[in-house]
Amino acid sequence: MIRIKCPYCGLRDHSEFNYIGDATKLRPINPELANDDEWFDYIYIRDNPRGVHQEYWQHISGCRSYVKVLRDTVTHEVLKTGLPSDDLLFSYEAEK
Amino acid sequence: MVDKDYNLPSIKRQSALDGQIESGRFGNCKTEPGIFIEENHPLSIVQLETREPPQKDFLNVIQNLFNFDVPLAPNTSKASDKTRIIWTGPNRWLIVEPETRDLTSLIKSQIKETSFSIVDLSHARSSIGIDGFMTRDLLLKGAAIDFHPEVFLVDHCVQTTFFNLSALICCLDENRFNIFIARGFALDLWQKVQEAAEEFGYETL
Amino acid sequence: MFSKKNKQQIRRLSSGGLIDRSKPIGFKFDGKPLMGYVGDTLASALLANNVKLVGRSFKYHRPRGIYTAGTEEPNALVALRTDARTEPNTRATNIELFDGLEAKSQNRWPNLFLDVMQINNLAGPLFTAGFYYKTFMGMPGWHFYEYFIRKAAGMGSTELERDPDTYDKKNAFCDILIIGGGPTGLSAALSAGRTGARVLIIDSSKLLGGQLIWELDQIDDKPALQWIESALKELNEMKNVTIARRTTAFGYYDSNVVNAIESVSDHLPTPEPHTVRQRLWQIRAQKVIIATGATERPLVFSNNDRPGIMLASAARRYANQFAVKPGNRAVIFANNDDGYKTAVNLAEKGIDVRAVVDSRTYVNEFWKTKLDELGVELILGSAVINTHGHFGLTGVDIASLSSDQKSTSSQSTFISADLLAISGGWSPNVHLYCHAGGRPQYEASIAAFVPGLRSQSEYPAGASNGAFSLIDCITEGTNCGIQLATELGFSKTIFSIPQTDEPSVTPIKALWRIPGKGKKFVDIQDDVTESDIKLAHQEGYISVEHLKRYTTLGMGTDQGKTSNMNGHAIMAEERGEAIETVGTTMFRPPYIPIAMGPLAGRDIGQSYSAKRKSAIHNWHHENGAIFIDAGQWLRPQYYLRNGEANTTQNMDLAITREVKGTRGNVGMVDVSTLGKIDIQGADSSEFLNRIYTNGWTKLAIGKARYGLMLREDGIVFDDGTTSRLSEHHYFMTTTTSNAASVLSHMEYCLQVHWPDLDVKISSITEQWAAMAIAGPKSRDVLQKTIDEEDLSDETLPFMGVKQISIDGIPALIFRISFSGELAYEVNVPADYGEYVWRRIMEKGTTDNIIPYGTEAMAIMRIEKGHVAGGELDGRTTPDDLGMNKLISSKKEFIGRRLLQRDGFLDPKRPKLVGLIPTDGKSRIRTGSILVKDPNASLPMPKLGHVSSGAYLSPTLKHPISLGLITGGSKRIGETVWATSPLHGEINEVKIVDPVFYDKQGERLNG
Repeated sequence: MIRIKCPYCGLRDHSEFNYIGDATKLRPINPELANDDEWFDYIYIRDNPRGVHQEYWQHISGCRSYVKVLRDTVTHEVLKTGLPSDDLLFSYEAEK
Repeated sequence: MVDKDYNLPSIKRQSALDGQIESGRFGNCKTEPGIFIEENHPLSIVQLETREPPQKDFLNVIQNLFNFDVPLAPNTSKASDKTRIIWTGPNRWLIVEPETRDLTSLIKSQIKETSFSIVDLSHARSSIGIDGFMTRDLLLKGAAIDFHPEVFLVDHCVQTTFFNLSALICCLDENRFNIFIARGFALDLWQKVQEAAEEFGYETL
Repeated sequence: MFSKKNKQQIRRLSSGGLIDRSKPIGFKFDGKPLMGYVGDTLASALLANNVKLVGRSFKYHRPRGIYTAGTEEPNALVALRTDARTEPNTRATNIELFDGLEAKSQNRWPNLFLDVMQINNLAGPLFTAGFYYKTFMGMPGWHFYEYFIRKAAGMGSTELERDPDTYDKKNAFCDILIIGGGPTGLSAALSAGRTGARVLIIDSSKLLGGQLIWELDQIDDKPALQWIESALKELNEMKNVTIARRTTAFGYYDSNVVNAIESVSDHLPTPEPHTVRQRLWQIRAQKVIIATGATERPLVFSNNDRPGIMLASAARRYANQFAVKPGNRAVIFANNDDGYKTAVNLAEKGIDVRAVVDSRTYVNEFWKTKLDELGVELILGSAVINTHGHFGLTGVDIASLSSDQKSTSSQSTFISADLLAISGGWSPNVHLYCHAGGRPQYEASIAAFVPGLRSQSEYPAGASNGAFSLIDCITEGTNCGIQLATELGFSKTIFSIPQTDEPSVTPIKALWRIPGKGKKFVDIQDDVTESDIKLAHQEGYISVEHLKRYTTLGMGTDQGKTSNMNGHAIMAEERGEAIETVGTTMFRPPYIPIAMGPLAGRDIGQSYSAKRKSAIHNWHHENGAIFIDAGQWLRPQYYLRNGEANTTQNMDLAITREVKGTRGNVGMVDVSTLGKIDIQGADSSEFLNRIYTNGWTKLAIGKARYGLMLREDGIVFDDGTTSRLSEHHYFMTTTTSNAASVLSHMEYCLQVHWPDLDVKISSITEQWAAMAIAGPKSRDVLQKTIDEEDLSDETLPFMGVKQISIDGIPALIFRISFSGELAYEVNVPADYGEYVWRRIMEKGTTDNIIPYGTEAMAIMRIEKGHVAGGELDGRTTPDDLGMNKLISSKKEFIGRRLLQRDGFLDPKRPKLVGLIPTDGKSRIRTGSILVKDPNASLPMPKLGHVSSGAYLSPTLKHPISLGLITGGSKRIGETVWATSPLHGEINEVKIVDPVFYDKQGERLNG
């Protein structure tokens, strides 16, 4: 069990959320201009870090928001949560 | 639906629980039942969503229609005798009242702009009312939400999983709650609530 | 239940104890009727009745007796209750005695006193660590031996009947959770409770007080029981404090979640009506105080496992709490002060305590004087080196111990005894601390592992933190309660620490094993001996984790509660390294064995998964529908008539009837389960353009369009029709199975990719009951049903959408077809669904309207070559399915770029075709592999596979299938073989066009 703080609804069990995946990859902003390598990287290349990982969860049984979650893959500790537009890693490092 | 007046069909609505409920007292009812369960039906349920945080015009429309404001804080609701407006997401609300008029069309007639979405969910949700002095204990069996009366106040609401189903739970009064659930799961939830209420003794109305 | 005649409990003391002598209860052990009292455990009642032998050991089948008085019990595991309620491996020390209790010993055959497997004991040297694997694994026929080996070992057996009891789950929240209601926990609850913090205190027993319940300590010059009573009185009066009894925390998980089991009815013969047997608590606390106490360890010497040997604290507890004489002639053997307490308590109760054997050479005057007064001999610097007896202890050999504890004097003294109470020191119960992620550290001053750094919000206090004296427990508990409440923002209160009457402590001197021959048990439950550990060391299994797995040390149901510390310390000695270097294994949940019942709760049988029913469900049920699971939905698969039995033959008849009825006249199917999504906003068209492969900007209002959705990697995701209701309002449908994932995908796109788009979406699946009316007479029937509107081709052409009303009920009608017939999909608000369905059925009677289920629907779509789940299998591209015309070249959409990759352009990719068995009758199994030559050598080249099929096509009169095959339509006319090697099926099939029926689509027009 981990508990995740939805930016709207508050702290909830992870069973209210769907795990979506890596939040560090951005869809090419201009799909036409992006080259094959950029597309390949966006769709297939995922790091599997030991430690801090920024990922998406959807609050599927709650407000249905996509929530960015900064989670430690070793301890499962949820370090920070925010909206898709937030750069959690940056603010986490800055606060440290 | 573009009905010009706000009248309702003359045909009676049939809820998901019609004909499925045996009324009476069940379970451990040596004394007064700890739980009372009833279906709230028929309801008008309309979802309103704005793209941006609501502007003054929108707030005015709601104020004019219902004589109170939309709740802006997550997990809260506001209510009059008749109507309750429940926060269900960023810039999203459910307006709920016992069905007496075509609420969707009424609201549509008042809000003309395209930056609002108005969705009739009157038939999409079933609502079960739970009352009685064991209500909060019962809710704790199904939802991982702190229902302590000093934490979960009157007019608070949550969207959460309730007995493994996505549900909206709204506190109407100290021990009185309404649960909203997808219509197709209504009977399933009703049975789960009954099972969980057995040790408290319950009455179905 | 049994005779209430008070049979003699020959070992019951005449007075004292927390038992109710006015309430005798009858129970049975191995069929023999016995008596005990309310307040007894099964173990204390057995001892009162002089039952010493309670089980046989795991591997050697040695006679074993009650060894402890608590949760750590390794020996006295019994099968509790009978028949469907039988619960194997239950600790007799934890079972509250109830009227009519029946328990049986385990791991013996035919009975406890004559156990044929005792032979293992004589063959003892053979059965060393790794014996079975070393002996049998290399030999042929391991599977043959395995059966007998597993039968000979093992514990109780489970009952196969369904458990008649029910189980419950609940969630709990608090500021501070206190696990354990001993002196530490009660002190913490008092101090935290007084600040106003929400406190939940849980304890596994019925009685709170922990060890204080059975110790004779004084607090503020009054018996400890009085202190407990006043603490409980105060706690009961605090509204912010909740006390949960008979509730055992068994796991500490991430995010400070603690799980516990409440034994609601375990102390009763059967649960009261409307009451569950056990309840699973999931507790979410801000702070958790772990006040779980400590467990006494045995000492490791030759034959230290005989019935009559028990932990010193247990012997004391039986005498003090249950007024039971654990023996008549006792010897105490210890390396710490605990043995003295036992000696004094037992002697004061009139038990003949022959000697206290202390491996240390010094003890303080307090105990010396006490023993003198009671006439108990004190033997310092010595050890018990062997024991005698078989079914019960008869005596012990004592020898003096060298100063390095590595040898004993050659001469020994025999002392006759039927009780040997042993204490090797105390180990803090660090289990929950470990679950939370903590790593215990070795503390030499108490010769035990204690909690180290904190990983979550867990706060070990008192004995579980290595503070063993009563005053330390009270002080730590009080301070911890205050500190945590303050951290949570509650204000401090005034408190005082009471006085205790404890003597000063002479430090423990670690003694991990006593020299001598014979079996020295370390893990008494798993029959792991000191020599097994030596062997593991010799063979290189020197890490504690390897030691555990090689010898099974600590792997029993007791998780090594009494054995791990000794085992790891012996390994450290063998390695010649410090205990802190060698370390300890990690404890994992659950702390105690947990039955499956409370974990499953009520989610069993029919309730395992929620059942979702359409608004028309009741009609289907009343009209002979056989239902099939479609995700959580229940859908009619086919309809039986007039009491037809549900046989394969009748199913085929029903399906044939439904297809023929629909294609010949008119049929209706409930399609309420299709996903429906409302889309509104100024950018709705643009949004659809981006998520569908085809174009949407030109779709006229009042028109529907078929849409294809891809995943970002170019694979087909879902399909469905979407209709434009107004300029900025669309009504989308998805497949039943993908409804939830399509909605999530769209929300992802809007929230993550394109938050600038003005689009609002919401699921309206449940708002609308939907029914598809298909067949040449569908228009006639529908026209009769609706109020005014005209349904002619002019007003409602193919792919047209109309808002109409049926008896005043607003309805959305789409002219779309999945069956290939003239067809309409009628959507009405769900609460009117059954009404409208009935109306249409009524109006259609003269046209012979027939309801059809998912089977007939699937057959008709295959006849038309429409793709569905079998083809949209997460591996296919639009081109594979012949849907290239739906790919717009004029716009961007999700999945577009990856469609252009080389792999997708490979001409060898399997493509959609139709398949017909060449004999015109063989059933082709879906999933069959298509090959050119079934006799080709292996590995046989695969050409493709069968993706879906109809073993009967009432329209075409022979089986038909869809499949994907290399070359696709270029192979039309060829024959290949459909094989299912697993089923031994090989059938020749002819490749044909995937549209089997009405290729020109003329029937769409009726």
